[in-house]
Amino acid sequence: MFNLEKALASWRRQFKHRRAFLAEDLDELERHLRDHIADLVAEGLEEKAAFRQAARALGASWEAEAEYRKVYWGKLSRKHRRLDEFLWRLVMRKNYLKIALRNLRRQKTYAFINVFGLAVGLATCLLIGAFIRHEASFDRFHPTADRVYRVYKTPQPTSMLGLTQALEDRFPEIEHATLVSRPWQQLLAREGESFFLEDVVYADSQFLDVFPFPLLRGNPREVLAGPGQMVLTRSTAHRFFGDEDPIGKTFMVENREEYTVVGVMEDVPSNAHFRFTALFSLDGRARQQRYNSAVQWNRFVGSYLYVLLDEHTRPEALETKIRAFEAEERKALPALSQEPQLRLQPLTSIHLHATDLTQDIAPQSDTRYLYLFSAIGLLILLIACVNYMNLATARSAERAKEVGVRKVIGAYRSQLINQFLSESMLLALLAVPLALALAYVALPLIAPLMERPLSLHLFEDGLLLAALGGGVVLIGLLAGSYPALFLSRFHPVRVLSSHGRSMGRGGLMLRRLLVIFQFTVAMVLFVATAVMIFQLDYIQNKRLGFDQEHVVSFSIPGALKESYETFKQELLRQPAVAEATSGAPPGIGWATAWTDMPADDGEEEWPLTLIEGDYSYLETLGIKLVAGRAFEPERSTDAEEAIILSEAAARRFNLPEDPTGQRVSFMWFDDVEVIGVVEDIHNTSLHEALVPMAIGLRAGANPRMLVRLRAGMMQDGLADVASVWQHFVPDRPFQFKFLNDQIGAQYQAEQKLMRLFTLFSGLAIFVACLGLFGLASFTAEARTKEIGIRKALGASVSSIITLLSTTFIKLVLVAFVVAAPLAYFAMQQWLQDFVYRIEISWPIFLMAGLAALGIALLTVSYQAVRAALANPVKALRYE
Amino acid sequence: MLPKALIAASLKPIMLSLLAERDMYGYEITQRVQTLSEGKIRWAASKLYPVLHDLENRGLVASFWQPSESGPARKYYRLTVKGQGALEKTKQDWLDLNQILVKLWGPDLSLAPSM
Repeated sequence: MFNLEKALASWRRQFKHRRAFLAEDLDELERHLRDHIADLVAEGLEEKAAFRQAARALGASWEAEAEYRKVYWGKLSRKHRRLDEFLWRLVMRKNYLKIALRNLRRQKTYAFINVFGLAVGLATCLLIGAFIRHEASFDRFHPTADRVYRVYKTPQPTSMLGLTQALEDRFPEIEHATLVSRPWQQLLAREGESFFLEDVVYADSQFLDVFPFPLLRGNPREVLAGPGQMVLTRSTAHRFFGDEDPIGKTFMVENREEYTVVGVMEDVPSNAHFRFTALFSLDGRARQQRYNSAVQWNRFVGSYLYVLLDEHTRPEALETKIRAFEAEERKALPALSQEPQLRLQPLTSIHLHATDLTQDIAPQSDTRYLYLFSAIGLLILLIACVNYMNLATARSAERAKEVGVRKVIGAYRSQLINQFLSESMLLALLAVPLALALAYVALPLIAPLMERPLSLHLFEDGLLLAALGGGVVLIGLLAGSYPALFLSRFHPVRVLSSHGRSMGRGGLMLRRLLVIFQFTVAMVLFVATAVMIFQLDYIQNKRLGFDQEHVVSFSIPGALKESYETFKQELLRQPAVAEATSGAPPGIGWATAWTDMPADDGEEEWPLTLIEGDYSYLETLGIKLVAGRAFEPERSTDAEEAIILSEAAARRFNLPEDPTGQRVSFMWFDDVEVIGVVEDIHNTSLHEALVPMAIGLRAGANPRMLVRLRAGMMQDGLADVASVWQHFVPDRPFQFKFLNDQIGAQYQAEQKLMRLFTLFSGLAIFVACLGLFGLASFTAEARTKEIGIRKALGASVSSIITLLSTTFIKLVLVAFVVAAPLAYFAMQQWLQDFVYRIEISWPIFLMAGLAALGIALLTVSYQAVRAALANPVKALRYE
Repeated sequence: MLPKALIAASLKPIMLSLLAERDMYGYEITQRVQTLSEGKIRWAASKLYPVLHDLENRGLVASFWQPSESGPARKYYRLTVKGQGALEKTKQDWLDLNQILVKLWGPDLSLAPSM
């Protein structure tokens, strides 16, 4: 039977939960409802139907709440109860805070694990955030940034002879155009001293219109207009002239042309896509590249063309026009591809979207790394949040009574959820100063790994403050939502009765899943790091077909060419010098010439690379002959009619088993004799496949000199070589590189990634282990009595350690099983970048798995051992 | 039914006018308005009471509880002196508005002010 009073009471309860209603408001509403029901019944409706209709007409509690809330505070102030209400809320907050702090103080280990874990996660995110902001800020400091475009083609984004002037003449939309070239260093001489200046830029007079770097000295309209002018950056000027006025000072550049300082500019910021120490006006050859008004479409130049568009030009429209112009011009050149190649690239996207370009003006970055690092930062933070969720729910038994009492006294569930969320936010808030401290300490250590001058300016940076505030709320919600929902669900009767003790088992399954998640993430990073380390080790130790150790490489300037033979003999007289040769440095992509050999029937074209060296080339570099002989000075025919092939080349030439004495033709070699075969040489990085090689003889001075020093005498050897150099070339500083450094530099990106991954995976494991440590100590504590009884009955220490550790070890093993395929597929992808790569085999996984397991075991066993060694009497006497 | 915006705008003038007639309780007000407007205006309780409470907060109406024979006590609202002043003011505003509309639409549509 329908009971009106019961229905009304239940209706009233819905409203009661909402804080906008006073008791008398509910009385009034209930009376309204009763009146309406009475009227409807009088009209002939059943009581039940009347109740439903009237309740519907009155509106739902949440709709009413919104309206009532608007007048709520006014009502309180009319009744002079505002202060009471305010105080009540404050007291509740204060009470929440007090309880939260009391819990923190009582459970120092857990507080530490949570705060420290969150701080590590937050600090990681802060650092990665700083990195991403820096990457995204490239070139935006120019006021013209959104109007500057680069006219480029793929894969080399360089320009063509005459293109700059032609575009400027033809398209009025282009306000300014500038052609920039950036040789990596120039030889400067001044007052009898000579030195290399790195990172210089040659540019025309419009450079400062397109890139309006502020000038400290000099007029931006005038500088670089004529030949022989240079603008120094502030620090370059300071380096050469200190506090002296640099204007009007002169330098001899490359012993050819004299340049006069006409201006000083601010240093180029670190977030410019190319940086420089000095600006030089164009020299003769470059002036032709710049000012020739007819484009030579097949004459590529090593310079980059930037244009400043006027404010009303749409870049897409201009790009279409430029391509139409190019297509038209190409029609007259049937030998060239008819497809236009030029495109426009916004200045601000050069730094992050240059993945498919080679030989860019300076090395650029890749958005993929940004995504990867953001994901890793968030994952580490998530692992820390999971720690909080796990520990909070695992310890729920301790909070169950509090929840029960609060509920009995009349707390709504929403209030409890509120309380627990405030607690997690408080923790996140406590983690903030620690995170900032960690970030500031780590910043100078991380910045070199990231190769960026990162900075955090807490109080000048609104975004950083906002991000921290948002982070606290987000972490509070993320970490606190599950414990809040879980704890606030407790039924007061159940938790306050004697069954309350079993509450700690709640959420056990979820907790296990979360631990598995943490360790999966950590282990994927761990395996990835291991694979990277193995691959890089493999690359560095793979024999490239020559000995790369102890070889010093330097270029032979024109001045040395004539006295080269005496120079070489003098070098060989030094005790620390083992061998010396002049020729192409192998392994770094250097070649004298390369070509695609025409295909025989049914076969593909194949590439052939030629490198040249003098008589001692093979010996100095330790290149091993497989058959035949090396070049010999005694045989006069060797210079013209002899060639040495690599094994792969001999195979591709289809030569018989012993190819010596056979004759081949390629490039400018016409019917030359193969006098020897050497083992294969990897002349490019191991990202690329082995290319068949031919080694030709070029006696005398080649562009570069390679000197093998005796092992263990490197320091002496370098000093000796330098002093011989000084004797022969006094006007040029001795500059050298180690061949193995140059070869290693080809794997810089991978090295950097590996170092960062090592760091990140270490952090992930560390934070995950913090959580595991907390859980283990909780378990050990909760089972104190059980352990006491077991020991009293004769259980051994080892059996108790096993008992306590098994569960966790199982979880870590499951995580390993989940992580292994994920890591495998991810790293297979990464390895695709290398033609020469390791097989990801089970030993790597086993090693990574064992290492992670070992760390987890150490973490857990500390607690387990402590529990197992405890005196059972103490445990059992507890009550 | 009249458009929502008009109903919302006329809520306070009508309420003050009704309470100027006599003291009333909330449900009574809704019923009275419904008959008066021939069903064109229906006020939901969830909107009506907050408006009444707001008027009370601002001192335009006062409230008191009165026992009833048909059930629990009812809360009655009464127009205060301040409320009467507000009613005069709002009445003038609406008449002004009416004048403007009359001028626009011609004398035929005049709502012929009664005072």
